[in-house]
Amino acid sequence: MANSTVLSALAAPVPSSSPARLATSATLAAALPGQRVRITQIAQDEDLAAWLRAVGMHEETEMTVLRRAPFDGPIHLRTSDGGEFAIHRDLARCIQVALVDARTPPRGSGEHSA
Amino acid sequence: MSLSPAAAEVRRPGAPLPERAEPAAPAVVALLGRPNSGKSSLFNTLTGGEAKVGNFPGVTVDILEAEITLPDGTAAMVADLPGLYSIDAVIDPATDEGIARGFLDRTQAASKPLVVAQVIDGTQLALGLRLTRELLARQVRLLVVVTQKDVLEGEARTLDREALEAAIGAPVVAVNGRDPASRGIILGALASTLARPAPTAKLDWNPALLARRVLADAPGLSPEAARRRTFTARADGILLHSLVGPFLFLALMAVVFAAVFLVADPVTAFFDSSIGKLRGALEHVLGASLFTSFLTDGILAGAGTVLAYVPQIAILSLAMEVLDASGYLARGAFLVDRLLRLLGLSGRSFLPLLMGHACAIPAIAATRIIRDPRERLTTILVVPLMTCSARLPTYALILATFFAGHGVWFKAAVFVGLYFSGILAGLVASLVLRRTATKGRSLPLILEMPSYRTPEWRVVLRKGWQSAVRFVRDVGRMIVLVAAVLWVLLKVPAPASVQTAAADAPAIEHSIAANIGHRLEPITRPLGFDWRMDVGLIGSFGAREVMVGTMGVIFGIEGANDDAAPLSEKIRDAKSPGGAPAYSVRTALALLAFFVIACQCMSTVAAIRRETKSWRWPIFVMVYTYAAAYVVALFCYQIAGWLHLS
Repeated sequence: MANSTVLSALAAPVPSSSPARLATSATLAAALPGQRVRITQIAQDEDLAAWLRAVGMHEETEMTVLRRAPFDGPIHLRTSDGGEFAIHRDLARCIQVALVDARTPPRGSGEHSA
Repeated sequence: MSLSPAAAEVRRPGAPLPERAEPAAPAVVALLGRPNSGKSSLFNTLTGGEAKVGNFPGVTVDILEAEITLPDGTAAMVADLPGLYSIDAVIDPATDEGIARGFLDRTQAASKPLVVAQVIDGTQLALGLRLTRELLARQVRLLVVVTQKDVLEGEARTLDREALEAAIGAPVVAVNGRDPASRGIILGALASTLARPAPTAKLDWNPALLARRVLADAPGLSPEAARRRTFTARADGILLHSLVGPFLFLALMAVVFAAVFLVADPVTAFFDSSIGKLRGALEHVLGASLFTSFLTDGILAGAGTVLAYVPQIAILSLAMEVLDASGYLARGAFLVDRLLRLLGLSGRSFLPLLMGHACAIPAIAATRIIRDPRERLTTILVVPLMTCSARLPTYALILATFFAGHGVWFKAAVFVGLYFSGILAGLVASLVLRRTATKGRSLPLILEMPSYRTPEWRVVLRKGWQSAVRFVRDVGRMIVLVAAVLWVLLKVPAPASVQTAAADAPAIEHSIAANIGHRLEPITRPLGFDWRMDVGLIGSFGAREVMVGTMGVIFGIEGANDDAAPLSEKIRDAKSPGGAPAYSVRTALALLAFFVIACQCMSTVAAIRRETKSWRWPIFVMVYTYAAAYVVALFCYQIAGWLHLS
């Protein structure tokens, strides 16, 4: 998938997208419930990135976003290795992702999609 | 089974002693795995629940140890290390990862025979195998224990154990951690692992690919796996719903809070009456004397304080264990995480902070659920600011004394205001601490959401029992000691040369505490406190609610704890040496402010000492809360003066 497609696919549903927001919209923070994404890069210092990998989130890990807590709260996701995690929005902004499968649920269908 | 070389060396009769004439150290079995991998359950199965907290200097997390005998007769010490994700990626030595690595380093440096038994949840094999690779790279004897065998079988998945062993070059057993039969399997495997030298590490494999290869999946998702996943998704759909979820969470927290607050009450009352009877018996046998008073008002009263906390500790510990083992605790943390971020904390701090409103002692023990060491420390330091139930009798006395003319609604509003003042003080303290005393790098903000499981009641009950025993043993001793010291201060007459009270004054006026109170007066005068108030504050260090009783003794009122009205009148009518009223609304406001902030509780200090395993942090809490309490009380007193409140 071309990078621009990923950007638009991830950025489009973000409400009130400002230009600054758009620039970082290919991060996990912008992924929506139901979307399946693959980690392409972890932009953290090496220690923290190593810890994230140890927890189960490394480059090439595929994840399904299950839900996003309101008010910029954590994102709940399931990795292809079978783990489920809640990750803070700030940390999610440091994780670059590419869309694998755009199964975006229709708007207003609730937050969860298994 | 053949005798392990290590064991044979120890036991060979008549063999020459090694150069260092020390008994050979028993083998160490380090039980290690990711959080929620079923490690606690397995430890319980292996040890039959018999365990003690190991003594490891500088380690602030309890490591449980238990002695076991392997089938070949070798004695081994099993250590239950904290749940961890990595042994290499250590962000801070105080994290669970750092503690586990330190433990392995020390054991290896001491040349003790060591087996690392890595517990892997079979349903998350790929995640566990990452850690396996790190452990193999350390050249340790490794036994991989794959749990949840029954769940895998239920999902029509089979683990190709031999293929896994061949790929990683280390032995593997697959068990159901809750099945008692798994004990024999694991002990046998441990003995044979110990008998072999550490394997040559095979590291040329990818955890995710290997997991996929050795776990032969039934085509498609099995009905059982699909059912489990649907159940989790449905339960999460309700429990993590953005509107319903927080409501259910608060309701559940209210139940836990009520249990700690109310259910513990009858048990505490029973302990109270038992102590009362013992007290009566002692007084009857020994007669009234200073020594009897020391035994009853000092030691026995201290022991009563310790026992009063036990039901609360046990109930909260049980509740937390159930919430954690069921998988709900992580969900609750997810729901309130955003709120707690305002305090520079995370969702895991919510439960301890909430429980702090019942009592700081169980709340401080509850901070063990917080993985990040700096966050845990911050929460421990902030919990004493929450409005615990022990503050209420003093608040009630102050309101009854100085705001007697105001209606019920006014008093209720003040009470609510005091609760919020505690939360506000906690917010400010937390934000300041995270930028000063507890600043530094924290763990990445990520929370594992385990599958829902039925808690294992045996493990849950044992944890509740262990936490109660440990509290009595570790915190109890200090509480009794401080109670004895306070008794000396309040009951033993000060040397005659420094007497300031009239000869016919109540005994407390001759006490060392009164003497200290007089000496403190110049410092506390700007807050409106005279020596009597100072003595009350000294007495209430034992427990905040003692303030009322101590003031009763000072003013010669019997039974002030049961009916505070006569004491209120005495305090209102109290005169300073110049003849002016000793106290006013200004004093009341300053005293309330002081009580909101100051850590007037020896049990809290002892609990902080217990959890941080150092004197640094309890002393820090006392210094910062007393300094802040002084400044805020001074501010209240002086502002009230400018506003002409009297």
